[in-house]
Amino acid sequence: MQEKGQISALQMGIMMFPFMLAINFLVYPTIAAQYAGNDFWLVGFFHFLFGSVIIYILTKLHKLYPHQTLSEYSEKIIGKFPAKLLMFLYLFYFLHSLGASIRQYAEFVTGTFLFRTPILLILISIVLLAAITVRCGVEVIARSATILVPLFVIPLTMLILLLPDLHIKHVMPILSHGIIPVVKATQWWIGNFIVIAYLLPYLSNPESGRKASMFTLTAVVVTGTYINLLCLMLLGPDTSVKIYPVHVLFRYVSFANFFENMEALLLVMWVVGCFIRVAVFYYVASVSLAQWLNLENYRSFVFPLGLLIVVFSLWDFPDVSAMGVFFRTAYPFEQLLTGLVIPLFLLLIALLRRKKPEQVSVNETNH
Amino acid sequence: MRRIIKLLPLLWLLASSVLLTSCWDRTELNDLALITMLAIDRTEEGGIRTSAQIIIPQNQRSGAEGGGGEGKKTIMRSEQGMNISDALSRLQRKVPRKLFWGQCKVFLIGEDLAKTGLKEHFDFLVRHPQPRERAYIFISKGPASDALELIPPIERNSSEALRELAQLQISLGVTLEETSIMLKRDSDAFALPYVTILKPSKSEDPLKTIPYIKGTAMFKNGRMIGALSEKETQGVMWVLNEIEDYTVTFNPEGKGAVSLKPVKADVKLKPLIKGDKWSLTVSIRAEGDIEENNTQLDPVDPKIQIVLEQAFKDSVRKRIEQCINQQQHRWNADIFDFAGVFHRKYPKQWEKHKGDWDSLFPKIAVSVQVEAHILRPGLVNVPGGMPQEEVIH
Repeated sequence: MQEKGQISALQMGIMMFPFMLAINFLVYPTIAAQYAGNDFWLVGFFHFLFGSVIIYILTKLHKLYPHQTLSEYSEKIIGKFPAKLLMFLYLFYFLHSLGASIRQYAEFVTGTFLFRTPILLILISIVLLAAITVRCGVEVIARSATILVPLFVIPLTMLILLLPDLHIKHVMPILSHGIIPVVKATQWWIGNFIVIAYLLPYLSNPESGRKASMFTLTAVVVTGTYINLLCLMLLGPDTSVKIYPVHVLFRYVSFANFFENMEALLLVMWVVGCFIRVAVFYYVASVSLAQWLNLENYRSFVFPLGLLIVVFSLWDFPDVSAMGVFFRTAYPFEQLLTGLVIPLFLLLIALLRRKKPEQVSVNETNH
Repeated sequence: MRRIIKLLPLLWLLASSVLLTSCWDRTELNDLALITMLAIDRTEEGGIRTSAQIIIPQNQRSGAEGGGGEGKKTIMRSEQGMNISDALSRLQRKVPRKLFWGQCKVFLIGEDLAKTGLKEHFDFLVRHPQPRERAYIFISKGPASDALELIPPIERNSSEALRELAQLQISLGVTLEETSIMLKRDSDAFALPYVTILKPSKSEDPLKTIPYIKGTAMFKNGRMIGALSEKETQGVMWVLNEIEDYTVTFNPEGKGAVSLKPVKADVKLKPLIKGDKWSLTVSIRAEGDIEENNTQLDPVDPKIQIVLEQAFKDSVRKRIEQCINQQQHRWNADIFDFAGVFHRKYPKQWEKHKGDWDSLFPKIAVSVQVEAHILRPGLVNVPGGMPQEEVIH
C-alpha cells in the first residue's frame, strides 16, 4: 500500500465526475460533430455501453485482488517481467495524458482569456497546485473535489438560459447516415475510467465501488448529452467549425438583457475541473511509478514527476492543429487499448488461472 | 515562534495578491478605446476600409449635469488595408488607446462589399476571440461608415439605435452566430437586415438622425444579389416565423381599413415529395386584437367577425404568396431555407437532389394555408366614431 488514507466510494464517485468531463466537454463536441454531423449527440449511448464494460472489468479485477492496484495485480496475473513492461506502457500513457490535459487546459486559457500570458506560466502553476495536493494524499484530493464540484456544476445549469435561442430543427433528421458515423464520433474518452483501478484499493467501502462508478458514469453521460444537445441546438452545422463550442454557448447567453457575457463562469469551471483532473491523473501516475520501482512511498516522486509532466505537455504537440490531428486519429485507439483491451485481457487470464489452481502454483514457483 | 507561524497564512495572502494581478494581461479602463460599432467597406482598389465608432469617455455624462458645453459622444476613425485585420492594425496607430471589442455589438457592412462577397470577409468576425457572437450584423445602403458619424438625438450613439431597433422584433435582427449558421446551411441563400439613414426632420442638423432598418438584403452564395423593400420584408418575416408584436392592416370588402395588433403567428412548413413532385405547405396560425376600425362593420357581430377574419386571412395569404413567388421566380434565392425543411423530412431524396437545388427550388409547388382569429375588439365594440344607424350589422 502506498498510503494509509482512505476515501469512501461516494467521494470517489464525486471526484470522478469532473475528472471525466473536465477537458472533454469543451473539445469533443467539435470532433464528434465532424464525424457524425447532427447526430453526434447520440454518442452518449456508446459512452454508457463502453463505460459500463470498463467499470465491470475493473471492479471484477478488484474483487479478485482486493487492496491492490492495477500495477500490483498485473504482476500476479501475467508474471513479473511482462507486467513491468505493460506497466511501463501505462506509466507512459498516464504521463502522456497528463501532458495533453494540461496543454489543452493552458491552450484554452491563453487562446481565449489571457492572450499575453506565457503558456509556460499557466502550465507550471496548475502542475504546482496539483503537485502539492497529490503529496497530501488521496484523501485531500477527494475532499477538495467534494468542495469544488458545485463550482463545476452550477455554471452548466446556467446554460438553461439559452432556451429561447435553441432550435430543435437542427437535430433533424435523426440518423440519416446510419449508426456508423456515431460510432466513429464516440472518441472513447470514457477509457479514462481506467484510473479507478488505482482508487478502488483505497476505498473504505470497496463493495460500493461499482455502484459509485456506475452512478458517476450515468452522470457523465447525461451531462455530456446535455452539453452536446445544447451545442447542436444553438450552433447546428456550426458546431464542427468552432474550436471551443461550449465557450460560444457561454458567450451567447443573454437573458433579460441582464445575464450576459458569462464566459468567466466557464473559466471558473474550467480551472476547477482541470485541477481535479490533473490531480487525479497525477496521483495515479505517481503511485504507478512508485509501484513500478517497488518503492514504499510515492511522495518523493511527486515534484520530479511534475517537471516531466510540464515537459511532456510541450513535447506532445507542437501546435493546436497537431493536437487536433492527434485527438481525431490516434487518441481513440490509445483509449481503446489502455481502457478496454488490456484490462479485458488481464481479466480473462485471471479468470482462467482461478479455474486451474494447479497451473497457478506451477507459475508461481517459476518466479 | 508560534506567533510567526500564525502570521504565515497572512503572508501567503499578501504574496498571492501580488501574484494574482495577472501582470501580462492587465488592462486598465483608461488604456482602452471602447468600440461600439464597426463599419466595413470596400475601397475602390478592392481593399477593405474599416471604420470604428469609439466612445469618448469624457462626454458620456448626460447633458443636464455636464456643465461645459455639449461635446460629441463618439468619434469615428477609419483606415484602409488588405483585409479587415490589416486595416484594423493600421487603425490602431491612429487611436492612442488599445481597441477593445467587448462592447462592440453592431457590425455594419457596406453594400459594395456585400455585393462582391461577404463570405470571404466574414471569417475575421468569427475567428477573432473578441467580437461577440451575439453582435448584430447589418448591411448598409451606400457606404457603411456614413452611419457612424451620425449623432442620434435620443440614443447615446448610432450603434445603440440600431441594436434597439433590431431587438424590437418588428424588423429582422440577425446575430453573427446566426449568420455563420446561415452561411453553412442547406440552402445557399439568406437574408440580412438592410439599413438606411433616416432623413432628418426639417429643423434638425443633417447629422442628427439615426440609421434604421428599411428592408432586407438578399444573399446567394455569400454575395448580395439584391434588396427587398419594407413591404416585401414583411412577407419574408412571416415565412421565417419572426412575426411578433406586429400590426397587420387589411381592407375588408373594400370598405376601409382595419388594423390588428399585436399579431402573433405560428408558422409551420410541411414538405411533401410525391414521385417527382416536390411541394410545400406553409400553414399559419395567426391571431390579433383589433386596434383600429375605419369601416362601418361591427366587429363583435359573429357574422361580421367571419367576414373580417376572412379578409385578414386573405391579406396574410396574399402577402406570403407574393413573397415566396418572387423569391422562386424573380430571384431564385431560397432565403427561407426550404432546402433544410426538405432535408430534415426526406434525407434520402435530399442527398440525391441537393446538387440541383437551384433548378428545383423554383419548381416547388407552394400552397399557403392561413388560420386566422380576431381575439378581442379593443375598448369599444361598434366602430368608434360612428352613429349607431350607420353601423352595418
